[in-house]
Amino acid sequence: MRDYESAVGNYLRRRLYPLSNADLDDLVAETFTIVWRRFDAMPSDAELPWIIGVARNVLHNAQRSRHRRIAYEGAVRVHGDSPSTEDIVVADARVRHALEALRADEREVLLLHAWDGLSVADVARVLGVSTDAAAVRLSRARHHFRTHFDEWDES
Amino acid sequence: MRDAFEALVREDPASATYHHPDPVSLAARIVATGRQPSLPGRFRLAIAGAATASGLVVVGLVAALSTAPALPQLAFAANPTTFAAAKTAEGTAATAAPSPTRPIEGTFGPGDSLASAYQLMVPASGLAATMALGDALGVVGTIGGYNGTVFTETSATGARVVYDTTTGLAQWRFQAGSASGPSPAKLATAIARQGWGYTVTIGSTTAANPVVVDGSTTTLSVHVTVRDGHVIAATGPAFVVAGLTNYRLRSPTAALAALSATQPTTASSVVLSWSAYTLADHMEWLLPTFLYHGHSGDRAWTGQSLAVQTATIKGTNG
Repeated sequence: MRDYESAVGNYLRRRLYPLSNADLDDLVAETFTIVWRRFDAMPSDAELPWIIGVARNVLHNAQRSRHRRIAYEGAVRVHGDSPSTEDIVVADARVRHALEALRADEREVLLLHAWDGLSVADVARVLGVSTDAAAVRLSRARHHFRTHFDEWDES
Repeated sequence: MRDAFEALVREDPASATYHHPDPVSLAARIVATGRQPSLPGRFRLAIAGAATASGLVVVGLVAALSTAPALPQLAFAANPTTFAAAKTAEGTAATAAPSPTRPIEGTFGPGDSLASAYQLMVPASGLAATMALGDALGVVGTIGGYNGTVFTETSATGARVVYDTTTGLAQWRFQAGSASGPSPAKLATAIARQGWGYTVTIGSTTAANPVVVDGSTTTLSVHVTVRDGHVIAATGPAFVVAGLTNYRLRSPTAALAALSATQPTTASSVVLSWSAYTLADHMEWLLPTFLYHGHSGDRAWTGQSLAVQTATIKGTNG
């Protein structure tokens, strides 16, 4: 567990930053509780991407719960996109601009590779797609990222 | 591509190594709530090692006066296993037998000390909070927002302030963009001017700086990234202290003595602090907690436990 604790904590921190420390710790605990419960399903040759996949589901559930809570409170809100993690925490304006310009699926595959350090094969396992499909997505995402990154320099 | 990709990697917001602050409680929660299948290999060994350690650690350190007048009935919205709450009868010191899968819990009787719990409210206007923070940090520009819960102000140089109420406790964020950010001291001054109900001392290095409420240190913090003497990014909580309740507690010194006397381990320090919790009515509270450090043999450990009585916290609203 300790082997993957940092990877899971940082994965969550990158995508729901800035969680309070207590929130982050709680999501990490929830992730490993599910990992423990479903341990027999974990592939022995791909433990980390499988655990990251669990953390991804925990994160999505937490976001849905938050949205339900907001709806329950009955507040009047303008619908629109939620701020993305990179929109909030990336200090480099060129990087921020390029990330904001990507589609959500492109951004996800790129950050799994660049920030979480996963190989193409592991990215494929996290997303539940073939390695070829992940490679195509990553290549496309890198190309678009570079294009938008260079756009900022030219502007 | 190399430059763009390297720039992206450098902006990793989680470049520091994450460690759960209380691995013993984490392991205890995992093995207590999850199914326990047959485990091969090193994962089983890691869990077993952590769980065995948890059997040596006190995770409940609770004190309150049952006859204390007008204690509010509070209920946790989150999974109560996120904190270590004692389940034994109030007013008695009690422990359970060590077990590989169950941590020891202790309940301590009331003492003479009074500790405060603070109800926290979101500042009345997110837009006003955003603009006030922007003014204090020299960020003046375009106002934006998301869903009515997140407000931003972005300057022409890319400097940005964000005010976010989508998490339980409202958060503010700052990033310097291409401009030179403020000094740590200026940031601390700017925070003090916001009327957020807390103060913080910010040093000259990248760090999480503890938030102080009413003179009391909390487990909340303002995270600051510093480069070349300038703050390039920062984030912290935003709240107004709306209510105050006093709980009667055993003093940290007495708690430390009780810990050391009743447990097969050595507690070297117990400090009373305050931690933020979301209760069932979605209200945010700073509740008194004990932060303790110690060791069992050559194994160091830390813990955090609510210092208010479990029955009082659960109430009827949950």
